[in-house]
Amino acid sequence: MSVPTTMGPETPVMRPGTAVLECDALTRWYGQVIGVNSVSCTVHPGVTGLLGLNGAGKSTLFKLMAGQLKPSKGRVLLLGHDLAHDIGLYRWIGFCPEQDALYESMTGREMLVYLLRLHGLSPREAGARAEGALVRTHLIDDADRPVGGYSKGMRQKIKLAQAMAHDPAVIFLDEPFNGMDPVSRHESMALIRELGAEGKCVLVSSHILHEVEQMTSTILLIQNGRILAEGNVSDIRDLVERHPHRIAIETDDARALAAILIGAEDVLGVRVEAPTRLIVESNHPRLFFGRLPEVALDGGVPIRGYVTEDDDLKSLFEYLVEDGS
Amino acid sequence: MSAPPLNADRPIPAPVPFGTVFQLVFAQAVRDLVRRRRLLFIAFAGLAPLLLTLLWRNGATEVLDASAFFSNLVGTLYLSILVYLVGLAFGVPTIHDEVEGRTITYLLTRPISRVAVYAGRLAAVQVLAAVLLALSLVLCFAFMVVGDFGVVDVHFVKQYVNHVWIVLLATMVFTGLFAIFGVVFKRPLVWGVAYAFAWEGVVSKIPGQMQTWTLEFHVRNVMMRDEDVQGSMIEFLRQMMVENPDVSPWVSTGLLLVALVAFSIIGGLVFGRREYVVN
Amino acid sequence: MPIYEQGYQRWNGELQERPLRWWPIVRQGVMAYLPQRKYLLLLGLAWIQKIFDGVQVYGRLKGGEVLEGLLGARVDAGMPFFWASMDNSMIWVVIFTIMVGSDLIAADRRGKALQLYFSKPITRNDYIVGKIGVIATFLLLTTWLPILLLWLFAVMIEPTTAYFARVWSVPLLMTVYSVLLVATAGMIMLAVSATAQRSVFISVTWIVLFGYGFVPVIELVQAITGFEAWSLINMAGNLGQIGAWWFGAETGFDVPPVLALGAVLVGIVAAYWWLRRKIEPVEVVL
Repeated sequence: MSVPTTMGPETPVMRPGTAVLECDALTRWYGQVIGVNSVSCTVHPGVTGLLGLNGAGKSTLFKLMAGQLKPSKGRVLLLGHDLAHDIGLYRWIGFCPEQDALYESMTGREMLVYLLRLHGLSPREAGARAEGALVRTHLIDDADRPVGGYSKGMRQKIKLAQAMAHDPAVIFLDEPFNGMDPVSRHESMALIRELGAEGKCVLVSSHILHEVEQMTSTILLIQNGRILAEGNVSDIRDLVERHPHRIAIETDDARALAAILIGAEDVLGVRVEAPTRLIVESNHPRLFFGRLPEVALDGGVPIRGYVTEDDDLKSLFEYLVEDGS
Repeated sequence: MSAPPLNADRPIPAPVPFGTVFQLVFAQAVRDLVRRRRLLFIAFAGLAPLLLTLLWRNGATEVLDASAFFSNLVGTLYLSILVYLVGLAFGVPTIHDEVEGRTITYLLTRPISRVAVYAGRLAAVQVLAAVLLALSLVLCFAFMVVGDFGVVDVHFVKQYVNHVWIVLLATMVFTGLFAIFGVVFKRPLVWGVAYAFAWEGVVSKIPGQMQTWTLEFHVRNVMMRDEDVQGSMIEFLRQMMVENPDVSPWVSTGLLLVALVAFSIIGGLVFGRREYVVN
Repeated sequence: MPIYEQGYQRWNGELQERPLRWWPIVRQGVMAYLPQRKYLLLLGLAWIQKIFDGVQVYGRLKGGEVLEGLLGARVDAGMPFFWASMDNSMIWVVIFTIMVGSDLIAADRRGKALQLYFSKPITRNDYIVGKIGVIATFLLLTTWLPILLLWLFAVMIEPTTAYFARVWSVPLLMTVYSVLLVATAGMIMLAVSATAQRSVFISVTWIVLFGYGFVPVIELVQAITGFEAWSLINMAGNLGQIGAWWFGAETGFDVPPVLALGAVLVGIVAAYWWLRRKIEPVEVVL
């Protein structure tokens, strides 16, 4: 049986840079508590990580974007259409919930076909698409077993399968790797990257930063109900001037190298951690890296290696959250 | 082949038709309910009248004739207990099942009408509830006549048909009502029990106009339509209801049918507007 | 200068010699429900019913002759009156037992909390007593306490030795009856809650086992079989028999009340035995 891999006729085609999801002054409160506070942001095709601490408003924002909650103020636009006004837009949305909730008595295939039929697909088309999704999520061998007997990882996969089977334009994944073993995690991450590469808009809500990093460098960071940062991780990192980049350099003579580097304008500080290890703080890492080989040659101090210690998502997250709270 | 048009030019897909959603949800709900222990539980409860019927056949046919026995059986067991138990057991989880199981998320993120979902699930639970009790009633009849068709007569058959349809109508009405409880309340069962025992159980027995506000009054009023049965529960009810409002059984029948439709509509509308925050 | 940040400190308290290990379970269970508005509202409604009984007491004791003239019958606020007040509270017993009791153990089983409980130094009996204490709190608040206050009110407004001689045993009998009621309703509810996981079925099963509202069915069975002892399977009916017997009121069934008492005790023991079997801290799945 051929596996459909191209988008169906109904799914919108999205060029890179298309504003797929737009939040316009989105606000939601629960009684006296504000969950999301006047959030405006745009999500484009590709994979985007939605990050935030517990209680930051991440889940609320996620559910607002997916149309599960109604905003108290503001609106969510999906490809220019207001999500609150037309349930037909759900044809373009796929949602993978965080909760471990499935139709336990159905088989994996039955569940997918049922949910696909609720998207308006014919029985034949639903069967074909279910088959395709099961193949892509590596569940085809267990497709005809009751979902109640699935392992935790398989349960996550079937949720992922039902979110993508109908070839939506936007896919919301809420903590998609909960309970997955490393192999399943790796397979699922690859699948998500593929979906992003196909031009779909995939929004992944997670607090496992290194996993998000493996899938995308585009993030949306929320704290206290507000967007703290939006865009590419490196670009955001460059903007965080209060926390200069920390670069660890392995060298034969740390002190000698420190003496050479300290005079430069792009170096804010140096610290000799060990006789062969130097930590440099710089607000202009690209400039610094550009100069470094010349400095090493001219100074006669060999450099064995270097790494930017805090150019990762975790460090960025910590800096931004600390500054934003 | 030219590139497909950009998004702004692409029309919003139409929601899935009401009929399609109703059919899918109905079929799925029936399949799901049939596999659940709930069905066994209710089937087990439906055995109680059969046991009583066996006891009656086993030596009490002289004490109570078929009419009297069946009227009492319907009045004391079916209408006073089973209809409520079945209504609660099937009606309350109509939507509450999906909410408690947190599978409601899948239904709320599809291009489907919530009213269609509600209607499909409600129809499934009402049909199954009615079928179970109908089966119990048919088996009762079978147990009553097996080996001795002289036990029953034409009047009894008329009475039997009247009582059966009233039990089925009452079952569907109460299932529909308790389904609304399942949508509106967080602890719907408690409110359902309070309604069944405190309101229907108590208020329906207060002499005067107030009892016309209960469904049970109208159910019993319809049951009393058969004038020909003597020495039965109906006589007893008539004596009890001497000072009670004189409402035509046809009015009561109409009210019950209106209630059946109204509960379905109200439940669908309430479910359509409610927001579910699934954590 | 005060110290605001002291970090972790070792506990320097003392362990209780004979701890009431069930008490935290009761307290936690009650406080999970009691502050909620709907429970307070229902308690309020239950007490309003007793306020009406209080008005009746006053009317019967102070306006006895007037009422006799109006109604053409002797009215009294004797033992049967207090029993009737208790009997009318049965609906609240049903409501609160279902509301409070249906999820008491089922929620612990669903959330796998039994393992947490039994990793602490508590026995299964501590757990059972704690859980039944939650149900008992609400049932006693709607039955025993208001009726005791009703009795006090009656004795205060009719402080005669003649009246006291007739009703002196009400507090004692009401206390014993309430304990029996709580044990019956509570133990059956806990047994069912430990068996099923969905509150719908727990509640419906409890209603069937407790037998509230089943009296007409029992009467039908008795009429068919000619065997009066069928009433013994109806726990609510048995409690009614016992109460009527103790308070000198007319009993509902023809079965000797002492048999009803025996049936209730058998029911309590059977429910307790089933409950002990079902509470397992560790579930072995083969």
